[in-house]
Amino acid sequence: MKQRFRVKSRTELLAMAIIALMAIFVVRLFYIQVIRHDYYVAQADSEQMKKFTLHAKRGEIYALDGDSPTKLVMNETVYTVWADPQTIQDRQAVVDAINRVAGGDTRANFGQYLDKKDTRYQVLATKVSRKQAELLKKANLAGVGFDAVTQRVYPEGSLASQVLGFVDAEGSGKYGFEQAYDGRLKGRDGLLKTVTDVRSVPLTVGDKNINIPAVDGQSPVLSIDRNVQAKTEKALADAVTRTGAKRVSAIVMDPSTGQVMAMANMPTYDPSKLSEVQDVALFNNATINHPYEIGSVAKTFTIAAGLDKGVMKPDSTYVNEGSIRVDDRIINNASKTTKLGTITMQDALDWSLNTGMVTIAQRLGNGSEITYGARQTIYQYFHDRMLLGQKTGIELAGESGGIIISPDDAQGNAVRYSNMSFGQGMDLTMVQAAAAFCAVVNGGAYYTPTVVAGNMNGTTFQKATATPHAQRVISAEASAQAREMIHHAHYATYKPADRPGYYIGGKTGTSQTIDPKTGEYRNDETIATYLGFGGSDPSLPRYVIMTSVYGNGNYGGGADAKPIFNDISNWLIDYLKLQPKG
Amino acid sequence: MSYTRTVQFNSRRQGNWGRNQNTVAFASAVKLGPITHTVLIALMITVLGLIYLTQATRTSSYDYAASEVDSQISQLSDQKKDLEVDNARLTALKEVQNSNVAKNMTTPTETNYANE
Repeated sequence: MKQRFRVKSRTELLAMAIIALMAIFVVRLFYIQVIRHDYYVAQADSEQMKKFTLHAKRGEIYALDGDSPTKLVMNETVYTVWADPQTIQDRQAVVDAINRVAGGDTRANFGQYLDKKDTRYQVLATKVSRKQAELLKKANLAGVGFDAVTQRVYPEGSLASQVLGFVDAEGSGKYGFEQAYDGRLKGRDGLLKTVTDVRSVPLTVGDKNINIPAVDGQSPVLSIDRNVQAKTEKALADAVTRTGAKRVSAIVMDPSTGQVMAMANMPTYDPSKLSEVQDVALFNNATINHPYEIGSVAKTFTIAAGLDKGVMKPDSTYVNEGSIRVDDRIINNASKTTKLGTITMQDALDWSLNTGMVTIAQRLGNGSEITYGARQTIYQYFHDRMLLGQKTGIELAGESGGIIISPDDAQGNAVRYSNMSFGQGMDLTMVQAAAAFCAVVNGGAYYTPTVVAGNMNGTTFQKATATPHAQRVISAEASAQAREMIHHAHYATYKPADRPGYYIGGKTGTSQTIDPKTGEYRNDETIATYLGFGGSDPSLPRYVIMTSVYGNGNYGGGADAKPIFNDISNWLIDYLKLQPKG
Repeated sequence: MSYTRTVQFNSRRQGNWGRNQNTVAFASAVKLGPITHTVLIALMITVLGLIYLTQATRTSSYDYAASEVDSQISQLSDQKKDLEVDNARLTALKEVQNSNVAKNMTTPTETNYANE
């Protein structure tokens, strides 16, 4: 039987072809959408999804203006104007417009950069303000572009620049408060991951969008009072003129909180003109990073320890012979003939006699020697209670610790501690000494020195609360006696220059410097220091001021540092609206 | 808003409902073939697609509007910042000290204190 094959119709063939084609499509789609799913999703995301960093704004820094915060460091958006020489069409129009709008901010002979046709990016002007940039944009210059840059602005110029520090080109704080508080000032950048159109406009379509808002940096309020700071800087500038010293420094503190009202050094710099600074040493804040032998102002610490330990009173006596033996060394007074014979400890402080302080150190031991026990006691007061010779923790970068030799150290012998009793043989920073002095005169409570008065929350000033250090430095009675002794010493040797009716106290210091080549004290350079307090109520000092003058010769605490104290102190009396007593 | 019926009436159709039972249902003279059905379904899909596209486009237009508003906010914020900087510069200590008001101030010859 002849087998007959059924002849398929053309329609059926077409249908089969279509089915086969559809099957290929299905298989291909299955391959693309299922097997290669992740690959193509990634491909699509890379083209459609874009990541934007939402930059956090660096916090502004406020200072105090009396009780109100005022802006000391701000942010400003400025523009860098650049050109693509290959797309510039009307060279002269570009030159004219930029000269007209941003004449002072252009590069020198910027027109020459427009002729560099082999380049695509030439900076024509920098730090152009937003208004100037808008005017240039309106000119619609082909081939001219703008880059927005945020920069720090200092409305008060160089005021407190060594306290503030600055922000480098990468946006990181350098020196001072900017560096110490960098993390809090910076804030945290946010992230926007979203589908965009061809112009990079974010669209809300898609389910993979991520929006993490930026957290702007904190805006702290410094305890620096701009008026006190300005006065202090003026007083220092006058002192430079008066003394010819290489460097002068001052710190003004509120003894009842530890807050720094002013902190300044001369010479200084303008943070908005960093490129003009020739000496990087100007960025340093000597009040926190220049430890030195503070000299006789340390006698206030020795009498505070002696009074608190009960080994002396202001009217306690000793025999002053102009010098005193400690082990194999003879310790001399600055003047061997001053106040010889039986004198009081008040006399010793008034006349800044080293023998009196060594005597107190001996009385902290067995009465005739600076024993190991006496050295331990002095170390406990100086190092453990007054926190001298170690970093205070003030919110400023670059703080130095200084040196106080422990009695357990081989160098911590009686001679060392006899020197320490009158301010030699230990290196302290001004902020350490001023903070310890605050404790001596404020009733005995140590407050960690701080430059932060609070924080701005929107437009609200949230004040920080001052908490004293856990350990009391000296008793309130000892503090009252020390205050009275220091008040007496202030008027003992130099002609008073204070406003009458106020309770002012202070102590001079004139310290030799060590020659780094020989390691010996040199006679051609001394550092002058003055450390004092003031107020109208004898039991409540309102301010503590420490000043120093050094470099380029011999300077005396009474002759050179004390006038700066007087200048600032007399001004503060008016500024703080203190009424005279009696 | 609600209305209260004040007049009662009965529908004749409602009352004579039983009479309409077993009536003849006439088939429509219009017959839809498979092509028409396909076309109608395609049309429905097209309409639904257009509705979807309209909504999706509207969402995108909101994004552009939001982007525009963001840009305006940014510009106004920059202007505010500029004004704040100008204000801070104008009220800086040196500006105040150099002002005519400050130059015309004099030091008091005598100070009296008002005690509380």
